[in-house]
Amino acid sequence: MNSKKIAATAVLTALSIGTNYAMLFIFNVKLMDLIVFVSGYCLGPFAGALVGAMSWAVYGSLNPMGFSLPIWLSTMVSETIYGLAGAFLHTALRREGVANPKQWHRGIFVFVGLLGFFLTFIYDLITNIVFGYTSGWNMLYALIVGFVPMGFIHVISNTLFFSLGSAPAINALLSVFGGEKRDLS
Amino acid sequence: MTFLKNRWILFSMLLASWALIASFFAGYYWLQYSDTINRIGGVPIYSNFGVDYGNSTRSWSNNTKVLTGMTLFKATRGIWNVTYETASGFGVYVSSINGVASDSTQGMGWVWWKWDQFMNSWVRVDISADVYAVADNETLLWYYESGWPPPPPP
Repeated sequence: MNSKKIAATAVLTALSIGTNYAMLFIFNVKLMDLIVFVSGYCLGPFAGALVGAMSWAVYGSLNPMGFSLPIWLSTMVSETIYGLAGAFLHTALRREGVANPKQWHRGIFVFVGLLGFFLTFIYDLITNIVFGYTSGWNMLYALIVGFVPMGFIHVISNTLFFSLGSAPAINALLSVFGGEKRDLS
Repeated sequence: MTFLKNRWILFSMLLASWALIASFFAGYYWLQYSDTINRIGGVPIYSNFGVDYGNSTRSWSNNTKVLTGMTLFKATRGIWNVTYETASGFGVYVSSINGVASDSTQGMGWVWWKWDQFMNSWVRVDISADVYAVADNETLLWYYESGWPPPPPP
């Protein structure tokens, strides 16, 4: 990683943690996942995963909702999928010559929203399984109660954020960190 | 993302996300329902129970309130005076109802029957009364009789 990427990773991690604390009063609605996804899109898989893991490393250890080591570790690991998915999406779109969000058509916006849906679903599934194990609840009960209504809010809000927020966030990030070439690679 | 040009891909993804949401909501309401049933012990239903003593004497307990999941054995014990034995692997054997006891010398015993509304006849259900869950608006009859297979009640 070059110094520009390291700086961008640190700033995005701080932004991600900051928004999490700022949005504490809105239960399970967080911009963190979008920020991690966008980080992966702009900075690559490693930096994207790092933003996700480090965000949870800090937020999870100073979590106002309480601390649980297995859940903390699972969220740290699970959060990286957003960064990895962002990077893979960038690779796929670059091949098609539409990596710049200004070139995105309606189908890509819908796809990115649905990607957010499935990524959030996988994230919630993993963390709910770990929660089920640690709490000693019946696994089926933990999965269902973890998803409805809490996970549902998370999934729907992320679908909207990813669909509507990815393009402006990527544009902003490239403008701020990408310089005239709008390139962070 | 060439595959995005095929609109069915996005449509399939939408359907899959809908299916996931619907499944989890179904699971959630199933949990809520199970929890409510566990707390209140069941939903009240109304069924008809009868006892035929085999001597043309038949007594009925019509529109009797029972709870969903309640077995015939439990419902019968709630209405009449029942003694029983437990046979390992065979469930509960009702040995007497209201003092009328099984008589092994004459081969007399209690057999339960269910009124089939479609066939308009009594049908024997070959499971123990402590396993059979009473359904709403059913008519069930205990018949004191002999012989095998036991003849249906008149």
